[in-house]
Amino acid sequence: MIKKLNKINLLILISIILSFFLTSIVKSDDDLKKNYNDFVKETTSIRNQLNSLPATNSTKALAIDNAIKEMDQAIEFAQKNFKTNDFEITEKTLNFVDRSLTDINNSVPKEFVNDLTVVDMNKLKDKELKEVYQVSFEMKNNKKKELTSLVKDMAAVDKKGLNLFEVSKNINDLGVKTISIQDIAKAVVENPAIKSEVLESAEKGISAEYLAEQLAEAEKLGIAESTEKLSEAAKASGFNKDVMPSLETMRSDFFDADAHNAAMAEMAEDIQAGGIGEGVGAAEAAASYTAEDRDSQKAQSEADCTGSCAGDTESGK
Amino acid sequence: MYYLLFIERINLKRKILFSLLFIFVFTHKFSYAEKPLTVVQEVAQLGKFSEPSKYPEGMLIFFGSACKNFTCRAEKATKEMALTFKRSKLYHQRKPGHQLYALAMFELFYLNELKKKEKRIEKFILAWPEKNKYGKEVISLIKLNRSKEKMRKSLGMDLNTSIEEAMARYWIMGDFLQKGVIKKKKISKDIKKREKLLAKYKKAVNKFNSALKNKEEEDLYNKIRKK
Repeated sequence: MIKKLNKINLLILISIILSFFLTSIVKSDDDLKKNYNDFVKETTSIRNQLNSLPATNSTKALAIDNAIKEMDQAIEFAQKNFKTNDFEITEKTLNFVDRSLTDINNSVPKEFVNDLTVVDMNKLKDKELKEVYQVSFEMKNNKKKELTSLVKDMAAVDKKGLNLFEVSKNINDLGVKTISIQDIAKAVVENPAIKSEVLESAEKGISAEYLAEQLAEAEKLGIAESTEKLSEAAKASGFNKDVMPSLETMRSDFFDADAHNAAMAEMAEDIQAGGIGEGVGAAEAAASYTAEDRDSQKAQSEADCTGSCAGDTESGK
Repeated sequence: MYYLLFIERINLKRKILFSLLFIFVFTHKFSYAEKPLTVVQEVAQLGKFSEPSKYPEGMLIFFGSACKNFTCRAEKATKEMALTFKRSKLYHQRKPGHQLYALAMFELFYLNELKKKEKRIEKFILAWPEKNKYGKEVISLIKLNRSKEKMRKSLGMDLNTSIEEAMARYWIMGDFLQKGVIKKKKISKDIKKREKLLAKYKKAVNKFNSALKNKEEEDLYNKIRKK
């Protein structure tokens, strides 16, 4: 009898511990599951809408359609990995999808284009010049870091069964500029630590000979284009317009107007998607709340409460 | 004899059970300690309020001569910032510098929020981790600070950059983009439709990917909420 009771006690205790442990995991994953369901619903609907667009003769539109279709297998792969709880591979695959969609979007002709080539750099003050170059330099650096990290992600995803180097090549072949063999070669040359794993994966998706050719080219260029060299050149110039290189050199070496425009467009998208918008809504409401708003709100609440709300609030006492 | 063996068995079971319990509690507690930033470290990153010593010239013109104290300037900037962020994509394409001016104003908005909530943050720190005092306000500030960090990073700055420097850089870049010439092109309906769907697609992917990346951050917020 005592033995049985002890067994029951033990079982109850183990169940309590397990249920406590499991609920703490499940709770934190609940939101993610909800996000995943929304993601599946939204992307399926968008893909259906894209597929049902009327046929077009525009080569640009066709290229966009086909480039977006290339994303399908990556999206399905991300979903499959999420279902098996491989969040790391899901994230890495989505990093690639995000970058590719950005590139496809950048290839779409825009209604308004900011032509920065007309800006006369000589008319800028020293402080302005310094900031513009510094920002351009930082943007270039960020871009390099992002590319290296993405190429690493692509190699990791390949090990799990999807060759994103091939997907990327297909998009480029459609005439949409995205991560190219040259970009991969540059990333590898600047980060020898990732060379073997990246090349192993890349060679499965793209021509080994062409890749070797690009690697040799990147190695030659790498010396001239290295971050340190750029930094030294920027420092040596002192960001002073008197000793600045020619406008053409600046445009190719430091300043990339398209990159600026694309970065600004991305920033706007981030803001609109809620990246920075959280809390701003409340701020806006607080900031735009005027005395008139207060009066009209008071009048409205009094009209709503004819006779029955008196005494509900302190002011009503 | 049998009785002694029985007692020993029970003790052994209890020992195993307590060891299991101990291992579970220990690992559960330390799973938080492994996070890159603790709640206290995160709150320390919010910074301290200190009125900016200078503003960009263009910003001073925007404030006007009647608006001279910090509160007036921060409130005016917040209104303008909220208005700009609400504008359409088309507006930003036509006025590319305005969102950068708005980011300079975001710096003031954040600083004003910090000023308003500074005492509550102090009370939160004093009470933490025993009690959760003003956790909601602290979470909202942490989120704003992370947005600020993200936006600064895109222009090569970080949380160590002074507010004066950050505002100046945003403003100069805004002025610079405004100097370009906006050229209008005719876009076919086919392209416009695709552009809209692409934006939706990107937003959906970005939202889910951010949720995956922010899992760690959400754990931190939940830790504060659940106290």
